[in-house]
Amino acid sequence: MDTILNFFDKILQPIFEITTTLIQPILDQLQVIGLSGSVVNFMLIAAILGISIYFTLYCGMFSLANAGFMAIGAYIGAILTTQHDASLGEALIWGMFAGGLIALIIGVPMLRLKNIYLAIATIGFGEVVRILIREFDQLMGNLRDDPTVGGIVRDILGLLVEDVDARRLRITYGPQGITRIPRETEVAHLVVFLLVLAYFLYRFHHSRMGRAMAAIRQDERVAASQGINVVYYKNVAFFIGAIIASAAGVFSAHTIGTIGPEDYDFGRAVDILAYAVLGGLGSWVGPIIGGLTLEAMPEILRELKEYTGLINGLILLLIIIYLPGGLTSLFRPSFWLSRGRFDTAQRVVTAGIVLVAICNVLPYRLEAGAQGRVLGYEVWGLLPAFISVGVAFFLVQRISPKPEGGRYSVLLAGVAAGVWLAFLILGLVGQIENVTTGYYLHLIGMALIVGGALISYPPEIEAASQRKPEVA
Amino acid sequence: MDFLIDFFNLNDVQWVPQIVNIIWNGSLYSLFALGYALIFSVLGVLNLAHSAIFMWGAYVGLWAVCGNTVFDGQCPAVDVPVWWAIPAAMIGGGIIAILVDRIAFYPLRQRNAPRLSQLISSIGIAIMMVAIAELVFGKERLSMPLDAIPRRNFDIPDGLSIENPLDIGRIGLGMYVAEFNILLTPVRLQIIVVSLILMIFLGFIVTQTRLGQGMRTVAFSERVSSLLGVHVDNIYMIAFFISGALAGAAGMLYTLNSNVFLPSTGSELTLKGLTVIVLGGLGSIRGAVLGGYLVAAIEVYMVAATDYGGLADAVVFFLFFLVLMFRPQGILGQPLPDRA
Amino acid sequence: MLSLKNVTRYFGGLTALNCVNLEASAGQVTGLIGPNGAGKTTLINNISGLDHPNSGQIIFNGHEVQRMAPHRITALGLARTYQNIRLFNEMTVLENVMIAQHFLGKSTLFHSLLQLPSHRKEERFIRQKSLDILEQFGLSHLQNELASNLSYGDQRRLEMARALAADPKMVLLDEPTAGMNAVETEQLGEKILDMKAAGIAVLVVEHDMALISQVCDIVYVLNFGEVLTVGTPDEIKRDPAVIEAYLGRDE
Ligand SMILES: Nc1ncnc2c1ncn2[C@@H]1O[C@H](COP(=O)(O)OP(=O)(O)OP(=O)(O)O)[C@@H](O)[C@H]1O
Ligand SMILES: [Mg+2]
Repeated sequence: MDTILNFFDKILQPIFEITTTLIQPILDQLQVIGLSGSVVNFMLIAAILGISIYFTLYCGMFSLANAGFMAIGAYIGAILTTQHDASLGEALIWGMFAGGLIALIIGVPMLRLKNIYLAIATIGFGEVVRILIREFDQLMGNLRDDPTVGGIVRDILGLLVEDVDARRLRITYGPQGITRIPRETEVAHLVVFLLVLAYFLYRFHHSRMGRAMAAIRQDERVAASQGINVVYYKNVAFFIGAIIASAAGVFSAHTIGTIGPEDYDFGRAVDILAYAVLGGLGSWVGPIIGGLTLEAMPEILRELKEYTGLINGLILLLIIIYLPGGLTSLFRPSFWLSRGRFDTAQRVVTAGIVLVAICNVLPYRLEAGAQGRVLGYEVWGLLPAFISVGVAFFLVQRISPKPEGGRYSVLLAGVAAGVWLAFLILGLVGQIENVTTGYYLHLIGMALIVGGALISYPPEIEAASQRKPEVA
Repeated sequence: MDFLIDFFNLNDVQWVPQIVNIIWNGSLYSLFALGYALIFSVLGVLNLAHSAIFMWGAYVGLWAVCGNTVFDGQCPAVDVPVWWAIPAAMIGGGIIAILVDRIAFYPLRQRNAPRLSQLISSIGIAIMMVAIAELVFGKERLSMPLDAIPRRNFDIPDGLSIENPLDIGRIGLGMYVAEFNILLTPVRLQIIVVSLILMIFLGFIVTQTRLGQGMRTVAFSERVSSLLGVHVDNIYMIAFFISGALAGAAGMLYTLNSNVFLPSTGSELTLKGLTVIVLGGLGSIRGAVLGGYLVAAIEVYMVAATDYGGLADAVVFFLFFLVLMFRPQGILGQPLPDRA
Repeated sequence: MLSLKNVTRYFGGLTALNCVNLEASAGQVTGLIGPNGAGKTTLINNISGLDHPNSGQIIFNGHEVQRMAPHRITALGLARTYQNIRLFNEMTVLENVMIAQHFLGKSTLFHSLLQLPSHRKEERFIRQKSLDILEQFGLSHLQNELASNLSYGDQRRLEMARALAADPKMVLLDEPTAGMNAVETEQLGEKILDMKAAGIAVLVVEHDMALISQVCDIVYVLNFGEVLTVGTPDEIKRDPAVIEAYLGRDE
C-alpha cells in the first residue's frame, strides 16, 4: 500500500506543481472579482458534485443521495487525517472506497424504485446518514458495551479509532462535528481531479455505457428489450456518482477544516441538484458550469448577498420552467432554432441571463478599476461572449429561414463577439487603462447581444415542426 | 405481554402522559401531512413547498392577531382572541398555496413536463418563500406576548362547580391532568380538537361530495375528467386551497404551541411529512392520518423508553425504507399505477 | 423456435391471456389477429419479458424464458417493435440502431477512456453495421437526424431497422402498419417476406387482412385472451367463429 502511494506521489507531485503554475494567472484574475482562497475550492468542489449527480440523472434516476455520500467521504477522510495522520491521498482513497461500498450495498434494493419513490428513498438515505453520524459516538459506545455484539463492534471501531475502550467514544463528535481537520486541499488537486472527471465524462458520452444509460433514461422498458441490463447500469451509475460525491466530501472537509452533520442535510442535496439543473444535462460541461456559477454567484453579487436564497430559488424555478436544458442549452444551435410556443419565455430568460451577466460585471468593474486591472471582470463577460459567438456560428452555418432577422443577428452577434474579444485582448496586453471606456464598450456589447438574441428567433420555423399523428 | 413490556423497555414509562403526547403530536403531523397527501393524490406531485406554506400560514395568523408590527419583527400585544389566528392562517395558507400552484406547477403542467420537474420547481419556490419571509419578517424569532396564549397546564380552575354541567368536563380534565401528571395545555387540546374536525371535514369532502368525486376523477386521469365535463383547473385550484388551508392551520397550531415564529419553522417537517405520507400510503388520506400518529408514536417511544432519543428520526426513516421497498403503496395505500 | 404452453396472465380480475398455446418456427411468418383488447400486445410483452405470465411456459430457442429479464431474452435472439412507436427520441437515427447492438459489444468504459484499439474497432464495426442496416431501410440520409424529427413512416421503418440490427433469430412485430397507407403497407410486407427468406421467425400482430394474406403462413386468432382458431389465412377468413368475433366488436 505504502509503495503504491509513494509511486503515485512521485507521479502526481510534478503534475500538481505544473498545474499550480499554469492556473496561477487565472487565480490572480479571479481574485480581482472577489473569488479567492477557499471560494475557488468550493466552486471546483461544486463542479465535482454537479458531475456526481449528473451520472444518476443521465441514467434517468432522480437520486438525492449524494449529500449523504458526501458526508460519508468527508467523515471517513477527516477521521483518517485527524486521528491516523493519513495523507490527503489516503483519505481520498478510503473515503471513496467507503462511499462506493455503501452505494453497492444500498443500490440493489433501492434502485428498484422509480421516479418519485426513488427520490423519496434517496432523501431518506441522506437523512439516515446524517442522523447516524450525529448519534454515532453514543450509539457505538452503547453497542460496544453490549455483551452480544460488543466484539464485532469493537473490531469495526478499531479501524476508525485507536482507543476503542475510551469511556466516551470520540469519532464523529456528535452534533459539534470534527474540527481542526488539516486544510490540505489545494486548488491544483481539485483542478486535476476535475479535469480527469471532465475527460471521463466526455468519453462516457460516446461510450457504449453512456449510450446504454441514455437509452435507459429515455425509455427503460425499451432499453431492456434492446438487450441492455437495466439493473446493472443503474447500479453502476449510482456507484460512480457515489464515489465522486465521496471524493468531493473529502476535498471539502479538507478545505473548510470543520465539518458537522448539519452540513450534509437536505439543503445540501438540493444544492447539488441545483448545480446539475442549472448547468443542464445536455453535455459534460453542464454540471461544471452549473456548479461553478452557482457557487461563485453569492461572492460575485456581494451586494446582493442578502438575497442569495431568493436568487437561488428563483434560478431553480426559472431554469426548470423556462430553460429545462439548463445553461448549456444556450450554446446549442437547436436552442436558438427553438420552435413552439415557449420561445417567448425562452427569449425572456435569455435576456434575463444576459442581465445577470451584466449584474455580475458592473460592481466589479469599479473595484477592478480601483486596483488598476480591467481584465478581471471580463472573465464574466466571457459567458455572454460565448453565447453571441454561438449565435453567430449557428446563423452563419445555416442560412436563416428568416433572412432579415437572420442577417441582422449575425451582424449584431458578430460585432458583439468582436467587441468582446478586442476588449479582452486589449485588457490582456494592458492597453485599456481607462475603466470608463471599458465600461461603455461593455454596455454596447451587452446591448448588441440582447438585440441579437431577440432577433435571432425565427418564428416561422414553428410551422415547420412536424406534428406526428397520434396513434393510441 | 410481560415479555413484550420488558423487550420494549416499557416498565418505567408513564403511559397516560405519553399517549397524550402521541395524540397531540400525531394530530399535528397528520394535519400537516393531509395537505401533502391531497396534492399528491390529485396531481401526482410532491409539493415540497408545503412546509413553506405551513410557515407562511403561521405568519399570516400572527399578523392577523398582532397587526402590522410583525413587519418590524415584533408583536407587543394581542388585542383579539388568539384563536382567531387559526382561521386567518387557513385562509392565508390557502391563498398562498394557490399562488404556489400558479407560479411553480401550472407552467409545467401546461407543457406536460415530467413530474420530477415539478418536484424541482417546488423546491425552488420553497427556498424563495423562506427567503422572502426572512426579508419581510426578519431572521430573528418572533413571539407573541406571554399572556396572549393560555400556556398553563390544565388544572381544576377556581370557581367551578360540579353542579354546572359545562364545568364538569373541565373539572374532569383537570383531575386527570393532575392525577396522571400529564402535560396538556389548552393549545395542545386545541391541536387535537381542530385536527380531528379538519380531518373529518376533509374526509367528508373527499368521499361524500361532488367536489371530492371530481378530485378523484382528476386523480385518475386528467383527460378522462375533462371528457366528463369536470373543470380540471378548478379542481386543482380548490385542491391547492384546501391543502394550503390545512398547512396553515397546522402551522398556526404548531407555532401557538411553541410560540416561536421563524422563517425556518417547518423545514424539519418537509421530510417528516414525507415519511408520514409514505408510511401511511402516498396519496391516501386515511394513510396520512395513520402515518402521522405512527411517526409520533415512534418518536415518543424512542424518547421516553430508550436512550436513543436522537435516533428517533433514523428509526422512522428506516421504517420508511422498509415500507418503500416492500410495500411502496404504504400501509393503507391502494396499489398505484406507475404515475410519476 | 418459440413455443407457448398454457400461458395465462391476469390483471386483477381481468384475464388478458387464458391458457394460450402457440408455436412459431424459423423461416415462417406467424400471424396473430384478434379484436381490440384481445390480449395480443400482452402476449408479445410476455414473450419479450416486459411482462411475466402468472402461469404457463414460454420456450424460446430452447430456453425457458417466462421469468427471464428482457435483456437476457434479447441476447437469446429475440427482437421486437411496438404498437405505438417507442424510439429513443433524444438520440439520432444512427444511435438508435447502434444501441440495439449494445449486448454484442464488449468494450467497457475503461476501454473507451483509454481509447484502446479494441474499443475503436468495435465502435467502427457497430457503426458500419448500423449504417448498412439503415441503407437497407432507406434511412441512411437521415442518420444524423434526431429520431423525433422523423416522419411517421420513417419512424416505423427505423423501429424495424432497430429490431433487425442485432441479427435476431425471431422478430415480434406489433401492428407494424398502423397509420401507414396502402403503398407503404405493401412495401412493409415485402420486408417481412425478406426476413422470412433470411430464415428469421416472424410473429406479426395485424389488423390489416390484406397484409396477413400477403405474408402469413399460419394465423392465430385471439379473442378475450383465448386462442379461437389456428389456420392458414384463407381458412381463417372463412371461419364463422372469427367473423363473429370481429363482428361482435363492431356492435
Ligand atoms: N398493465 C396492464 N394492467 C392492467 N390491464 C392491462 C394491462 N395491460 C393490458 N391490460 C388489459 O388487458 C387487455 C388486453 O390488452 P392488449 O393491449 O393486450 O390488447 P390488444 O389485443 O393488443 O388490443 P389492441 O388491438 O387494442 O392493441 C385489455 O383489456 C387491457 O386493458
Ligand atoms: Mg395491442
